[in-house]
Amino acid sequence: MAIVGHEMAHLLYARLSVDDIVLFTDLAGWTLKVEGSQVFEIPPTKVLIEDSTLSKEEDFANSVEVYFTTPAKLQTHNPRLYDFFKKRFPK
Amino acid sequence: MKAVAHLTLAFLLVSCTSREVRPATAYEVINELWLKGGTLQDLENRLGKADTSSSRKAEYKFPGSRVPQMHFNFNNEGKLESALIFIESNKLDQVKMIIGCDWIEQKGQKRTADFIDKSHEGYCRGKPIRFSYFASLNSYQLWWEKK
Repeated sequence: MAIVGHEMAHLLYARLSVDDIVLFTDLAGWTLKVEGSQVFEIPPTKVLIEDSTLSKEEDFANSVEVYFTTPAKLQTHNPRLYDFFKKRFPK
Repeated sequence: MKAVAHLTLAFLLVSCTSREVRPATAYEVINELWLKGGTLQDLENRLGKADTSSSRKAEYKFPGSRVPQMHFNFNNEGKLESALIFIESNKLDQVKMIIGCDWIEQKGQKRTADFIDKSHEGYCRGKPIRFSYFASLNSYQLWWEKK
């Protein structure tokens, strides 16, 4: 079930509005930096699951997975991010 | 007949004088300033005060966020050299039309870790302007580069 939720979250990410992604970016602690003519993304120093640093999309999918499987873990790790999901996926 | 002519004339006068002037979008402003080598002052006069700026860079963030929405680089003379704007996917066609280029495009798919993202990029024939889908923001990055 966790895997299905995770993979569904990837599909969902491609349908999110730019505003929601920007909000997720801030809440999850990602940094976007423009240097010369390139855009770099710097992951947060503390993540829930190790491979979350691979990309913001992976971080989003992991966060959705944790929100549905072990919500208390997400609430402790990042309460504002937990609220972000709670508002969008009320249980 | 005379009445019809008067009515037509009145209609034309009203429609010509009351037409609202559409405000220029950010990408129209950027395109114009990039073409003429505008300064930071020109930019701020048109787009408002930048969130961060120095003699060589300026940045506008998404409202209420730390994420850059527009980024500008200036040369030694303080003239706009390159610019980036993130645009929503549904605005791409409008932007391409406004810039008015012969666009060379390529679409495909790109595998990243355990998922597949679309890839879509293009460039303007004869001008250093390019765009590419930026999955991380589910939007397009549009670049005006050094001429």
